[in-house]
Amino acid sequence: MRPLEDWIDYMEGEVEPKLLSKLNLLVKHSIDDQMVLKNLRRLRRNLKASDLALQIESQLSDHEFHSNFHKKIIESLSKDNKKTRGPGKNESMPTDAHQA
Amino acid sequence: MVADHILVEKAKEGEVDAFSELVLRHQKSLLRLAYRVLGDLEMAQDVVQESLMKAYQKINTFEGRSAFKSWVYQITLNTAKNKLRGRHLDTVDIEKVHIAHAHDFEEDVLSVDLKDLIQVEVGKLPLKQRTALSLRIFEDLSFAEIADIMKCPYDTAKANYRHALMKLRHTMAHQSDLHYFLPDNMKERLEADA
Repeated sequence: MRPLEDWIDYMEGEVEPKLLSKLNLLVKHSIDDQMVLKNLRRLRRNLKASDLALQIESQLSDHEFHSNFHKKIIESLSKDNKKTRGPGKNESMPTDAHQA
Repeated sequence: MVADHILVEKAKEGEVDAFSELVLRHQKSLLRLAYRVLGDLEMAQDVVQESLMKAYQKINTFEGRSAFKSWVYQITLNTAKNKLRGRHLDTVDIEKVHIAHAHDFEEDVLSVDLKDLIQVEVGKLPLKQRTALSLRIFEDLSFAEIADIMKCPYDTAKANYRHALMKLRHTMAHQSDLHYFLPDNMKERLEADA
């Protein structure tokens, strides 16, 4: 049987072409590997269905909520814009500098 | 539709409307992201508002090496984590803080349904693994985007995701509720693994 990591990569479409053909063969012919993959996919589906944020979908799809929240943010930006703008506050911020 | 990076350039030149459009585009997913960390919509709104304010104030420092979305996700995650730290008054190690749902309720794991069980187990994961898992499964982001947000190499983002999934698979297969959902031969194999 292949290591679990390989099947996770397979499920996520992250497998190198060379390994992909081996895994495709196992999916066709190995019942054990089929079962591992099937259960990983089931776990992934269950995880997706358990998303905590699904609890707020009704509010998020409400146009009024969306637009009021947007308005609130823009108003606070405008207020802030009047006071000051740009770098200078003493706070460390994430940058988008390239990772090594 | 105007691309994000063009709107960013306009925002840098002081066009509030351009930044307003960016807010409109990303506020929903940012609210979901913050809510997953905090489990409270009002707090999530505060965090997103604060994060977008920070992004606006620091827009000139954004170099465009990653997507704007990754950058604001990163700011929002950091802000939400700080909010959690504040909420727990530094008595709890942030790496050990469960997602809000898991932390707020002392529930008997065996008596809750599968969805709750999963949320509890996800909440027990180390923060980095939970973040990678959440960004991949709930936000459908690529590992390159996740690496940008987590400020780590691509392989590390992927490893965090894998570890999270492997841990969940192992732990949850041993919970009797989930056991019910597994085929017999899988249960036997997992028991042998343990």
